[in-house]
Amino acid sequence: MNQNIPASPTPATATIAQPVRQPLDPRALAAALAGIRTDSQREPETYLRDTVVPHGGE
Amino acid sequence: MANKSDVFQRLIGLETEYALLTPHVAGMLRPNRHEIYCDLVTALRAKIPCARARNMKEGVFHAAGGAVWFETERPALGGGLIEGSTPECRSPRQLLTWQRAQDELLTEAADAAFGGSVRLIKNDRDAAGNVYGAQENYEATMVAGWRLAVWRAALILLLPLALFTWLVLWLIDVGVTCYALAATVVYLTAERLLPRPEWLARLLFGCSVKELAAETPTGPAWLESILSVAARVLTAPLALALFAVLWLTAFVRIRRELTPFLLSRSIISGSGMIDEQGHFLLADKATAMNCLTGFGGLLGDRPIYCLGHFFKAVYADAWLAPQQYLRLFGARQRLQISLGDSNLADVAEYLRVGTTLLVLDAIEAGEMPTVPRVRRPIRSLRAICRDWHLATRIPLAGGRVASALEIQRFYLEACRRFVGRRSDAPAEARDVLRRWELALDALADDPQSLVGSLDWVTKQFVLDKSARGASWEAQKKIDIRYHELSPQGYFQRLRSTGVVCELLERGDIDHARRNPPAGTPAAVRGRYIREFSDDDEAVSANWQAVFLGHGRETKVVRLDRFRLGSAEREAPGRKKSVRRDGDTDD
Repeated sequence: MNQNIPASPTPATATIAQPVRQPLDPRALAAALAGIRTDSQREPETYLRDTVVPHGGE
Repeated sequence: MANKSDVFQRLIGLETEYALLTPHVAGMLRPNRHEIYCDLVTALRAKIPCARARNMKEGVFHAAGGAVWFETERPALGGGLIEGSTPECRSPRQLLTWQRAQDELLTEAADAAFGGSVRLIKNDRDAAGNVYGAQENYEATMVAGWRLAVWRAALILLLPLALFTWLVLWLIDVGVTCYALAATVVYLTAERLLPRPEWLARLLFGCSVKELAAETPTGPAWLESILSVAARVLTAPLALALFAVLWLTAFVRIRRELTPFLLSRSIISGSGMIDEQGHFLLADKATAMNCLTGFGGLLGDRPIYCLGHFFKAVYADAWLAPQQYLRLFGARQRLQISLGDSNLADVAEYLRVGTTLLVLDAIEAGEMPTVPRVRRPIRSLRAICRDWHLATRIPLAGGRVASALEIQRFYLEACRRFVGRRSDAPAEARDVLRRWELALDALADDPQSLVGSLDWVTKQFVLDKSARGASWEAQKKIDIRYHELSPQGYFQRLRSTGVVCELLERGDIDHARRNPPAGTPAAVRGRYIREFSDDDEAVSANWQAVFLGHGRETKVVRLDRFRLGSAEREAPGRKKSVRRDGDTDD
């Protein structure tokens, strides 16, 4: 099996892709925030209870 | 001007413990977390070839180079976490890409396995205050000079104690097996005499006999508690001796020069949280930290620098493979940083890793100027995280004070000079510097411009717009559901609005879902898994090797030689060695 490794991922001459930012859609943002507001007030205690991680981790 | 690039050459990786949304249905038992893990892995196997992990921890490696684990944390009391590990990567952009690919793979596997009834949440603290989440791993020089001699001598001197500890843990294992046999005999005998023997089954096995057959048995909680205490007490002599040596020798210079950077890093990479009093904090995990260095949970410690993997290597991993003990003699080891939040925003995660890498590179090159020494670091960390106005100034040695922004600018300038002296530094290093500066400038002048780029700013924006006057519970739900990876998650809902700054191309993430990162040990591991995973017994793996076949016929492909950075790998004389060594070892 050939295990030769391709070159390093980011040579000095490589260009870095710039952020891909869709144009801000104020209506979509307002709708999303309104949706979040409604959803966050729907049985929040239940959501908090159902997302507990017993004893946590590292 | 330095000749050989020493920027972004080390191996790096992220570990993420995911919380689970497991809705409780009245009259039904909450699903066992180990069963959830098993079903998730079954669904994952349908998406990508996987191989059994050879580790004390239950897990699988997949063909994209990463791994999925079941973290056993008090299973009899309902504990247990699903953890994803990215493959080893070399640059922040590469790591970000494979982290996003992992998040997507696991989210889709959960959806396929549970149809939306169990969902993954990538956060660090639940509403009850339990802490888990992110860990960062950086390959680094742990020890050099006289400290290396002390470390190696200590490893030799500790060997009898390590052997004694292995023996004790083995005896505990034997004892548990004997208990299971004895409990079965007692139950079968008593079953004939007792009219309702279910209580005895729960006492002896931790569940009913019916559940025992249907689920993965965890044992009774009382036995788990006794074993947990016993294991801590019996391993304490080894733990204390090893910790003393590590404290004296391990990453001493890095810890001294990196700490102020990490304490102030939350202003960029914190994911924000609502505390019990309803205050907004910059970071989820930071205020849970209670010491600089520790083993991570052994004695209730929650350290910034976690050295627990050294302890695991000595008392557990070396048990399975004695060569793991020999690996500890090397000067280059894994630096594990526990102070850091799981990020949803690309820019926050990219900068969290990228800036830390640059600071580490500058420290190891000996080009970090004298850093400000923070007095009372844990208290200072909490003070920084409690002030989202970023005005708090923390005490430094010599009676000076500095804000987190000022400390970050000190490191930015040091790293700018470090990169500036290297004409062959990767373009990505300059990109990290540029974004770092932009983020600090924006935090000073116009934090709102970072909505969609930094998690804490974005979360605060959502809370401000959607939870003004809401109850604590509703605010906390926003805090946690922001991190849910399903389309119902609040950060995911923002993605389609154009407010989120995405750093990655869709095609890059798709590539990372199927392939390991090039130029890393993961590339070799992933290739073998893809080739041989048709037969589950044919291939298994760990972070150091791939194992082909089983029994005495097992062939071992060691991955250590693929750990070198491109500079060393492409040096004359190395290419031939890599090709020749590409063959498997018996």
